[in-house]
Amino acid sequence: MDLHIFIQQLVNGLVLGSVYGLIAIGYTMVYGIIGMINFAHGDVYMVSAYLSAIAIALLSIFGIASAPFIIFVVLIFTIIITSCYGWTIERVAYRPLRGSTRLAPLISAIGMSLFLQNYVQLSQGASTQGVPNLIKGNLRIGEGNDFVQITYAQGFIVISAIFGMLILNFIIQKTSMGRQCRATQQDRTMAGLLGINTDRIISTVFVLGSAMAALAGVLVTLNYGTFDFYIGFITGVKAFTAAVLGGIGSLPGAILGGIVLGMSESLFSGFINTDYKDVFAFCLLVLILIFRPSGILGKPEVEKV
Amino acid sequence: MDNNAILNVAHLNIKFGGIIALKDINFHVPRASITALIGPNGAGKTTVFNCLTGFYKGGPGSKLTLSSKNKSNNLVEMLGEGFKLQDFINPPAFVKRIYFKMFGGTHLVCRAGLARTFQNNRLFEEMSVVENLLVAQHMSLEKSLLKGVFQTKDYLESQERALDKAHDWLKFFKLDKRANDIAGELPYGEQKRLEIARAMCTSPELLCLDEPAAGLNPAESAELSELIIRLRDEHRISVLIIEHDMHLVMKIADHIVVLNYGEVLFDGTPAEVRNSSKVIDAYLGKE
Repeated sequence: MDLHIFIQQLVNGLVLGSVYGLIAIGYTMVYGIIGMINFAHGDVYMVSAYLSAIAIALLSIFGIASAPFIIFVVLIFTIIITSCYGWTIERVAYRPLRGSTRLAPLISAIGMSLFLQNYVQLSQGASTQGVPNLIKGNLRIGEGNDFVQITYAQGFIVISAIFGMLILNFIIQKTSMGRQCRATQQDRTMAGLLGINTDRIISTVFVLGSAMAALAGVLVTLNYGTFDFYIGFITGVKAFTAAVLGGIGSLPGAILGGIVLGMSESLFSGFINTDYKDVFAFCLLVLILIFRPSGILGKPEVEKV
Repeated sequence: MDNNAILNVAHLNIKFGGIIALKDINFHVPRASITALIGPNGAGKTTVFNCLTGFYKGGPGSKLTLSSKNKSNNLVEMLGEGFKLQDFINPPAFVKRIYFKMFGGTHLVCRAGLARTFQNNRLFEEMSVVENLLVAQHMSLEKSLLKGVFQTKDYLESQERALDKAHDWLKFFKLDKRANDIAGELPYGEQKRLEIARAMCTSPELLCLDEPAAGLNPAESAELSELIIRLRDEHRISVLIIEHDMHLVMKIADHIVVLNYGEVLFDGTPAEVRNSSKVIDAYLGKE
């Protein structure tokens, strides 16, 4: 086992994991507040990848070539429009079903996911799309053939993911809005009795989750450069796995779960087999759920008597 | 209808399947007074509270009027009542109905000035005591998310005011030493007081307490009744209280409404209730 390959895979895993973590935040927040799995969340991420490509195309029409400026505008544009998607999905597909059985919004979420995939396929075409590489260059540590390579794009992903998570954590822990979110999560009826408009808080949670997915979408598009209408499915399932792994409903758990999943996946594909990396990821999930059903950081549910 | 009353309940009725839980309930709560709602188990006391706060919807003809914050609030309408036939020929009423169907709900009742507590404690157990009180004051805090993120001057000032108010109420309920403890770790009696403190932080004019003394020892119970009387005298809060502890009720209530089998059995002062043969029959059975 070569050390430099090991470190290289850890770096790749960290990059992959921070993307999973960002998307997992959306799953875990929605689950925490209304107890449903938003299966359309992976497709929100896919939509954001297309939106970032559209933004890059629009900017190039106006002849803007400065990479930092493009990245900045693309981030703002994508986050805002994707948040609107998140808000609309909640308003159209989930709110009318509030108060019905637990399964109803789940089915509605699957429908929403299929709708988004087909809507993007029809409007943007089924073929794989690409964007030019905006962040060029890399950092090499080591000499000769034994080196660890970190592209600037990878560095950018990790730094912006950490930054995004810090902002979100600040919103949840320190602002009045975040306090209302936490109150609604713990006891929705009581929050309503204290004058909190719980419907608005739930919308806010969808908006925040979608904004994080949008950040992930832009970062992945900038790094890999290609995407199609189907990327939301597998990434969504992986991110959901990360959320369950870390303990669904827990925000730090989602991030930790994402990083654990990303690192173990990339170590497995680096040293054992690339084709079976998904199998390994889900085996890990099964094992953790057997030995720790509430996830790494999740609290076991205590039945009140 | 009494004009001085803060809450008027008229023709309140509700059915669960074939069971008539409340049948034409009429009573009012005078302003700045303590009104007790008593009755044997299953008489429908908590159901009245649930109708006030929107967990149940009163049947047709129910009228709940809360006269607070200088206006008269129709609670049934606020909670999003069903469409009526005459709405379809009256566009303003129709629009209003749709508005409250979409945006109405429990939170509007609270903002109109009615706060309630539950029989069992429903604190936000994972938050600290002072945070529980801040949640209740979110209406007076700067709501803009961006202002919160950038911690602007307005935001910090409003937060400061909210903290001051929270500390005032903590002092009132003798919880000021507990401000930074986790709410779920307080002893039972303190949790009960914290629930009332949190309700008071929403700046209500009518406070509905559901069995506040249940599970308290005699000393704690006496302390609580003292606090409720001070709320009425010092803060001019109207209180509607459900309680089984008759000593407490007789000591603090200005006015008692007795329910039995979903109907108002008696309505009068504590002395009148004590001497009413109807009430004694309902509680102890006929001789």
